[in-house]
Amino acid sequence: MPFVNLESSDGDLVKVDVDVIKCSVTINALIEHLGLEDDNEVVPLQNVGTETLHKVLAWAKHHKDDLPSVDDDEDDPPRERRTDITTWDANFIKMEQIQLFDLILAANYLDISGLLDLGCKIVADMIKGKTADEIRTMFNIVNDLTPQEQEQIRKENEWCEEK
Amino acid sequence: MSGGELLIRLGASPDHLQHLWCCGMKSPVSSHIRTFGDQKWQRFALLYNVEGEKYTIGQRFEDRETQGEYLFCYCDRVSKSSHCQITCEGGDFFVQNLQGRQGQGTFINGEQVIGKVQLKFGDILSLGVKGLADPAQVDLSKKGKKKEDKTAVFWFQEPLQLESMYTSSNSNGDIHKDGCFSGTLVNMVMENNFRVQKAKKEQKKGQKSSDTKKKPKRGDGNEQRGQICDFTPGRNTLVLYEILKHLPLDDIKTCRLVCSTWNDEATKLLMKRSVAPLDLSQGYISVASRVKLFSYVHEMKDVVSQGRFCLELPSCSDFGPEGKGGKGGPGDKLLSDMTWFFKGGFPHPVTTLDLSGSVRCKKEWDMWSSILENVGLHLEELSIKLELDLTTQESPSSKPFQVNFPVLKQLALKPAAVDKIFTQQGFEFIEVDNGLKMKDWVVSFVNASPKLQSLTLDSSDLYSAFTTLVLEQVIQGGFPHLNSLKLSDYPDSTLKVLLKLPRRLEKLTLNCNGYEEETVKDLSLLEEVIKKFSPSLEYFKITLPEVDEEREELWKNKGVKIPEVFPRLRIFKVTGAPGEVSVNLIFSDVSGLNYEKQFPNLAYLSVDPFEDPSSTGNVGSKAFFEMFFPAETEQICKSVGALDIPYLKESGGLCEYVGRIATMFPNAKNKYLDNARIKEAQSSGKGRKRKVSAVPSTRTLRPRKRVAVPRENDDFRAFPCNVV
Repeated sequence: MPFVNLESSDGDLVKVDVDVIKCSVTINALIEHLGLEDDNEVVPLQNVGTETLHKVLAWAKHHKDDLPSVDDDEDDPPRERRTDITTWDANFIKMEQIQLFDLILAANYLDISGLLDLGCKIVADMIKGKTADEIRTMFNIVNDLTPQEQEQIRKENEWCEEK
Repeated sequence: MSGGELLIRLGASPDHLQHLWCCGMKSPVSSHIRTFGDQKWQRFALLYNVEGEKYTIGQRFEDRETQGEYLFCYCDRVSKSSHCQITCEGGDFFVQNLQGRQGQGTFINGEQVIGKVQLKFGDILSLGVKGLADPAQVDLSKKGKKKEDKTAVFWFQEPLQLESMYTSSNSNGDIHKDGCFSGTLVNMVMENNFRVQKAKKEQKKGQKSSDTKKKPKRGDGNEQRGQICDFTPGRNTLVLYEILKHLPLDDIKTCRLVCSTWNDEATKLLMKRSVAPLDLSQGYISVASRVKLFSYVHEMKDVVSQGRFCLELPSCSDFGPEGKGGKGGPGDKLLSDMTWFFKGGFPHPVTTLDLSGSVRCKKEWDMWSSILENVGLHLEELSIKLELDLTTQESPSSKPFQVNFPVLKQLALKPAAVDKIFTQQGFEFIEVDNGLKMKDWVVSFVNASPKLQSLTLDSSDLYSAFTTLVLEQVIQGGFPHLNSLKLSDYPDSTLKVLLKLPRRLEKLTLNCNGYEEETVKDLSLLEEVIKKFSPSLEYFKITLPEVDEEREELWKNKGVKIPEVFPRLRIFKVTGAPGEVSVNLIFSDVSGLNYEKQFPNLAYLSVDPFEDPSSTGNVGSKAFFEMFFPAETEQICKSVGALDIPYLKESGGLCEYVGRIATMFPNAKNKYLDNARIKEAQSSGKGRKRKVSAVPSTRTLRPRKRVAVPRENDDFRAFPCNVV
C-alpha cells in the first residue's frame, strides 16, 4: 500500500495511506500528476496545522469506504436536505469553534467535499433561526452596514420567495 | 425625498368595503388600516421618487408614455378621465390638475391647485372637494347628511415601510406575515410623524423629517464601518458560501443583515434560489398589486441579474370593479404593464417563469400571449398553470400563441378546467381532444421549444386527454431532446401512447393522483412501459395505484412484472398505496428481488409503504415492504449509499425491520441504520464477521460500475466494503 508524507504548517510530518487521503481532490491530483516515487515523498501543506491535519485524517480514515454521495433529486418539494448527520460524525465534530473553523478551512483547501459539507452543516445549524444580531455576537462580527443599507436589504428580501 | 406614500381616507361608515370598492380597491386588509383621531386611512399607493416619473390619478388609462403609472380612483367627484398628475422633479413631488375649467378641481390642504404645486409630507390632497389641512378633522360630510361620503381624500406621508419592519423583527408575534401591524405601533408612529411634521411646519423650515423619524430597529450598527469581519470563514468568502448553502431561505435573508461580506455571499445564493412573487391575482383593485411591477423594477433592477418570477395573473372579473373593466380600465393598464415589463421595463433576461391564471375571455388570452411572446428568448424554465374554460364551445382567441423558446429546457404544463365540479359531472363537456384550439395551443409550445429536455404534464383536472395530446406531438417529432418525463397519472390511454414514444428517457416519474376511474386498469400495459424504458432509465419514480373493488377482481393474483435488469438505474423511488391489497411488483428472479442483478447501479433507494407495515391491519403495506426487504434473505446490496424510508425515519428506526435493512445495505448511512449496526455489534460480540455468501459469483466477472470514473492506475485502491 503506497504512502505519502504530509507536512503540516507546523513542520510536522505525518505518514498517510494514499487510500485514506484520496478523498482529498487536491492531494489526489497532486499524486496523479507527479506520481509517487517512493514512500519518502513529502507534500507540504502550508495552510493546515498539525492538530487539524490529524483531525482531517481521522475523518478520512473513517470514511474511506464511503460511496460517492447521490444528489437528492430536485423534483421533490424542497424539504430539508439530507442533513442526517451520523452518530460518528456528530461525535467527531464536537469541538471548539476555532478548531471547527480551522477544520472547515482545511477541508476547503484540501478539497474534501464530505468533510467540508459536514463542517458547514454544523455551522449552518448554529446560524439557523438566529437573528442578525445574535449571529454577529456569536462570531464576533462587526456590522459595517449602514441603516440605509439594511433598510434596502429588507426591502429586497421581500421580493424573494421559495420557488 | 426618497419616496412617498398616499393614504386614502376611509369613509365614516363602518362599511369600508363599499367605500374602497368605489375607490377602485378591493376589500381592505385590516392591518393596512391606520387610525388617526377619528379617521381611518389606508395605503393607496407608494410613490417612488424617480426623476421624471409621473403618477396619474383618474378613471381612464390611455398609455404609459404620457400618463406614467396610472392610479385608478373611482371615488365620487373624481374625473372620468384623468384628474390630476403627480410628478417627480429635482427630488420633490409636484401636483398638477389635469381637468378643464368645468372640472371639480384638485386641492392641497384646502387650497385649489393652480399650475404646479409642490406636495410635501403631511399634505392633504383632495380631488373634487375642498379638504382641510388637519388629517384629524378632515371629515367632509356635512352635519346631518346621511349619505356616505365617497370622495377621494389623500394624505401624503413618508412611507412607513411596514414590510421592512416586519422582516427586521419577524420573531415578534404581533406582526403579521402580510407585513402589517396590529394597530397600536403603527398609530404611534403615525402620530409621531404627524407631530414632527406639524412642528416643522410651524417652524416654517420646510425641511424634511427623515432624520427625526423614529423607528424601532435593532442593531443600527452605524458604527465603525469598514472593519473586517472577525469570523474566520467570513474572510474566505468561498467557505462562507458553502455554509450558507445549507440554510433555508429565511435564514439566508437574515444573514444578509450581518455585515457586507455576508450580504454579498447570501445575496448570490438568495438570487439563485428564490423567485420574485408577482401576485397580481387580485387585479389592479388591490393596493398590493397596483404598482407591483413598477416597484419591482425600481427596487431590484440593480440587485438581480436575471428574472426569476412567479407570476399570478388575475381573471377578467378581477381586473377592476364591476362595470369598470372596459376600455381604459385596469385591464388595459395591466396588459400594457405586462408588455412594458417583459419588453425591457425589467432590464435583465427572464430565465425562470412560473405563470398561473385563467383564460376565459379575449383580454385574458391577450395577456397570456403578450407575456409568453415577449418573455421567450432567454427562458430556461417555464411552468404554466392555466385554467381553461373548456365548457364553452367558443375559444377566446382565433390564433394560437406566437411563441419562441430557443433555450427552454424545462416545461411544466398544468391545465385545469375552470369549473371543476361541472366538468367532473360530465366528461363529454371536455373538448380537449376534439377541440382544435387546444391542439393549436399544444403544437405552438412543442414547435417553439427545440431544446426541451424535461417535460412535466399534470392534467389531473382534465382527465388524460391533454397528456395524450401532448405526447402525440412528441411522437410526431416534437421535443427531440426530451429525456425526462413526469406524469401526474398513468391511465391505460396514457400508457398506450407512452409505448409509442420514440425517446430514450433517462428520468421517468409516474405519479398516481388523478381520479380513480382514470387510473391504470391493464397492468400488462404498465409492465410494457417499464420494460420499454428500463434500458435507459437512470431515475425512476412510481406511485402504485390504489386498488378499488373493480380492480381487486381484475388484478387478482396479478402483479407488475419488473424487467430483469435496469442497467443504468441510479435512483429508484417507489410508493405503495393504502388499503389491504396492494399491487404487487413481481421481480423476475425466482427468489424475488435481487438488487445486485436487477439494479447493479442503484445508489439511491426510496421505499414508502404508505402505511405502517408493522401494524397488523396493514396487510398490503406489509407485503409491499417485505418485497423490498424480505425477511429471509442473505443478499447484500453494496451500491446503495442513500436509503430513504420515510416510515423508518419517522419512527426513528424503532421497528423490527431496521436491523435487517442495516445488514442488507451496509453502505447506506444514516442515524437509525448506524444505531442498528452499533446495537447489533454490541449484542453479537465484537468482530463478528458478516455473512456475504449470498453475493453471486457473477459479480467478479462484471466490472463494478461506480459513479466516480475509475482511473486506469487506481487498482491499488481497494474497493470499499469487503468483508470486515
